[in-house]
Amino acid sequence: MLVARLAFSNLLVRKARSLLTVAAVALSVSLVVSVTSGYASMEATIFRMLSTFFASVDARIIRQNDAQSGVPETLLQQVRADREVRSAVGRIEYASGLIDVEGRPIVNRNTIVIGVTRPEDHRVELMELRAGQWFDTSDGDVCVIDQVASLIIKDPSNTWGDESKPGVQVGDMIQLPSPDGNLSLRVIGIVHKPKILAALQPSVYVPIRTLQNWPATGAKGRFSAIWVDLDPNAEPAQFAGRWRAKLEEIDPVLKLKMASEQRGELDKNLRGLQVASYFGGAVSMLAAAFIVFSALSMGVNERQRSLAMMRAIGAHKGQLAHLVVIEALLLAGFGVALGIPLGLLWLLMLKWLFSDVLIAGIYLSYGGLLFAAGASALAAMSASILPAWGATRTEPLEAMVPLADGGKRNRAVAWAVPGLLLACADSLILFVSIRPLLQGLGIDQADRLAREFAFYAHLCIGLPCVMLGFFLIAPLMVLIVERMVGPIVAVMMRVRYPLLRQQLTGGIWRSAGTAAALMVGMAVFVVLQVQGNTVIGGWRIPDKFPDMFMTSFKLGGLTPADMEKIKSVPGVNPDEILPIAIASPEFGSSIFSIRGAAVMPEATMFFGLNPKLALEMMELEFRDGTEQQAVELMTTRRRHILVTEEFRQLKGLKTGDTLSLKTPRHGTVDYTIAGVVWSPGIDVMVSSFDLGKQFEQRTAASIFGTLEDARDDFGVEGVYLFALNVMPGIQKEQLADDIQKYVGAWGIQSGDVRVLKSIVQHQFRKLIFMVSMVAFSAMGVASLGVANTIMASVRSRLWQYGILRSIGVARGQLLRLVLAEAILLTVVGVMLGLLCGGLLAFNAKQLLLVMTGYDPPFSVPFGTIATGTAIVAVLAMLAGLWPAASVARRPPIALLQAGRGAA
Amino acid sequence: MAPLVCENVHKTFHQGDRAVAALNGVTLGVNAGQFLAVMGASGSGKSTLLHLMAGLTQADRGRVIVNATDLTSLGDRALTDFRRRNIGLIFQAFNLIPTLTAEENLALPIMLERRLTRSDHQKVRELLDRLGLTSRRTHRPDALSGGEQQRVAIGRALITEPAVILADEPTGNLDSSNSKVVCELLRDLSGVHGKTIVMVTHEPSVARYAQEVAVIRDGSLVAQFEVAEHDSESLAMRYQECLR
Repeated sequence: MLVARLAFSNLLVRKARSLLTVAAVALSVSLVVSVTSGYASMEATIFRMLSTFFASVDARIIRQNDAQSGVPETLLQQVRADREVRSAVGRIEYASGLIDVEGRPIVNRNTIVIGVTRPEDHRVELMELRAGQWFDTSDGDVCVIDQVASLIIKDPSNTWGDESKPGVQVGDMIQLPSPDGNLSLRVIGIVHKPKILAALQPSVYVPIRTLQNWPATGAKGRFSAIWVDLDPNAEPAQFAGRWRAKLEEIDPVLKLKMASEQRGELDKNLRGLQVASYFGGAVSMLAAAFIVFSALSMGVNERQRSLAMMRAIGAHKGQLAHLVVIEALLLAGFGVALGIPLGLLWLLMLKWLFSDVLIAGIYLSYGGLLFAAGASALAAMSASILPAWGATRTEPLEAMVPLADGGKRNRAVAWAVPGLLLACADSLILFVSIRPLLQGLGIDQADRLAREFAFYAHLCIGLPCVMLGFFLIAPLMVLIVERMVGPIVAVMMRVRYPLLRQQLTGGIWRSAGTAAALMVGMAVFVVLQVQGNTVIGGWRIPDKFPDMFMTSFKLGGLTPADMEKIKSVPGVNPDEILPIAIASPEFGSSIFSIRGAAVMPEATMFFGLNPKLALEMMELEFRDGTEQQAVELMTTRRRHILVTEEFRQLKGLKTGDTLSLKTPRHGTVDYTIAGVVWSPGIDVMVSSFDLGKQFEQRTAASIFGTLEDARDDFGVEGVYLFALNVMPGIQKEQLADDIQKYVGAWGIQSGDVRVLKSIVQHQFRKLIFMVSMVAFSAMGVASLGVANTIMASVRSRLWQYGILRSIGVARGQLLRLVLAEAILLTVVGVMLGLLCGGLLAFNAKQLLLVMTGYDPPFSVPFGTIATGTAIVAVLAMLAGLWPAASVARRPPIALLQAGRGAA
Repeated sequence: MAPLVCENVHKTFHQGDRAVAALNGVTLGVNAGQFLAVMGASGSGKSTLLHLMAGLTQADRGRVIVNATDLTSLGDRALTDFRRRNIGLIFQAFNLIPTLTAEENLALPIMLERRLTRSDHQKVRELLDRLGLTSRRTHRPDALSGGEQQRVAIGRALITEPAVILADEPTGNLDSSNSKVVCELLRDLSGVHGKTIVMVTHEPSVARYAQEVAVIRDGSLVAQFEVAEHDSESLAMRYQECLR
């Protein structure tokens, strides 16, 4: 009771400090609440979108690896006959070009045409119908379009669907293009979709028979998928078991996907994002913890005499420690109490700003709330350990001496030694593999376990150790900066260095705590920037690479006849057209556990191609085996593959080794590695950008096999992707149009891989910048700590400042003196941040190698880091300005009186 | 047995490589109800002696016995408990907790041990009354005069009814009128209420309120005499003689 009373009253005595510290915790808590709730709201939006605009049925039957080839229509009757099925409908999805109201093709803008079975398919009615009505038949030349399709068809320049502009109205006619004859449809309804969704994929809903009968789709007698709704009394597991066996008999490539599995897959895919949202919160929480530490250290230092008196009259050491811990918990408690409503306020702002995106509204993440409260308490408790220990070391005798001895700075430097050791712990975890040890112990899957150990140990032990280590190094850095940089700053600020000396070291732990808080944001910023640039910078395209890649959305894919037609298109090099079949097999054995799947997906991407032609068109460096040997093996024997260097690093496999892959046609089969090629960063890009998202599961690592194996083992009948080289001087956009005309597959998209790379890099940089907001938030939190520290420093020197003012020091000089201290503190924080960030980036690169096998050269964006440094400096300077200005404003007598009171 | 006994106490401090002997075998006994003033020049060792008596520091050699307990034999926790229950400390700088009221500061030693009972509250009020602080009980230290602050500090030293009260220059931060009030209060505590008090001072005018004076010079007890034999002037002269 007494301890709580004392703790509470101590906080009240230093109102400004307590407020700033509480504000730092509150800001962190609000960030955690808003980010995790923002994620929850986004997740809810995704699921709402899925249930409203995509498949939200109990089960779907699709064709694995080759969704475009679809499922036979005859299957629908069998499904409907199942006693546990309440309803089943077919759907067709077909990517088409668009024609504007003037009859001109709209360049580079496709639409998704959805064939709907009406009136059985009620799911479309969940969408908001803005005008007209839904068709009630599966035939007829009618359609319902979404608002963006309506706007684009009316005005192709209205790319993002500006609704203030006019669009196609109910009753108007639109056309879908095909060389064999356009499909004319009357618009009978307009639905409204979230803008972000509609803008990405404008949709046209058409009666399913109309679409099947339109030759362009090639969908006669088949659907893209069958959607199944089960009877309320049905047993989903039994249904799934029964139908999986049945589909295996009918055609092994037909797969049943249950809603729960879909959800599970999505959950798994979103898990990384969820972890990132919590990680972002944890970073700002760490900065807040250092500020709490700093505030507590100041409190213990200033109250040394009171604490000594309490010891003298009978307080135990534990009671003093308890006092500090209670103070920390009170700060955290107030921070949480203030931070949660603040977080809700951010959420409301988020809702207001993104109301069109967050269609499911705002969801409060209770997990995030708990995390915020728990992490705040934990952070406060951790932050109180050292100050509490310092309080217990207060000697009762100090109550008897005229002035308590607050300076123990030389001893504080000794902390740098354990600090350095702790900072090295993460490198030790990542650079020294436990694989040989596990292998020596005869443990199965030593490779996987070693990798998982490295990842989790890095996350749970390594990172905290680095942060703690650098925090312990901070006092030494304070000393070094004060001695080495202090004179320079003194000259810059036109103040005498002797006056600046010991400004920071006078309260070395409070300075260290604040510098550590600044360090957190800076280090996160550095590691994000360096790692991001290293990853993206290492993604290099070989000098010899296909000029263009093209994809088609034609159902059933491009036939050999289509490929022949492409050869005859003027400008295409007929000898260099490379069809590529894509499949997404899972690994044969459970190489990665479910837990590990959050780290590394368990599927790979199988590219089926003509190896001889592929290696002629792409000059890949062989790291193991030879090109000649690989081509010979792949063309003369079945089930031989090329793997990437990253794959080899990851799995520890080499030429001649076998790899088990799950195939829909023949179960688990062994593939032999015919060679290892170096393809800088392809796997990382595949994994990062999830190029295999059409396979409904996350993928990582690419392997290259033959078209025959893709067809025979994975059931990939249609080819949707091909690479080609063109004649010199050919306009690529024109060529894409020509190919569409020749093949008749409207909906072909083309891309120059170098342009694609540039787009991907641009998006990646935007992503890095977005994630860097976490770092800036932490810096914002830390700036409150700077204000706090400068205030405490000013307070302890009021008497000294009073004397200086009395003997003729001008206000401006005093202002510059205090600001110089803020600059020095910033320099300490920045230097720690750069060192810590540099070490973390170094470790992160090793982690990338361990986890993905990718080992790109370092790429440091010096300009961006310099900008980040400038931002930290400005924030810290602004934070120091208030206490500096307030002390400079006071008359000398007020400073002397206040200084006497403080002493 | 006397409530406070120092037997052949030695204490040496180290300043860099130099060893400074603060106390060289001081032996001293304070009887129950006695009010002893320890005098000496600056650096003579008088404060060190008081610190040893309070168990705030340990002797290098010799024993300090308070209320029949050898302080040198106690560990930190036991010593802390012992100090809280058996020794009342009065500081030169008052050392009140600025965030607590006068009443709370006074009750602090009890509050460190347990929640205040009804009888504790009663005792605190009686003590406040005795010290003339009833009307100031809800005030914080910054609203009290120096004399009032020191009276609160004296109350804090008395609240646990300790075996001995140790005062370190209790009038050092007070003006003459407040000094007089505090000195009279200490004298009454000893004379009227039978408290055992040891007070360190270098002012003969303050020492005059004690019953006996012990003079320390260069770490040794050089004289011990009754105050009653002297008036202010002769006490000052006697003290000066002892220092020569």
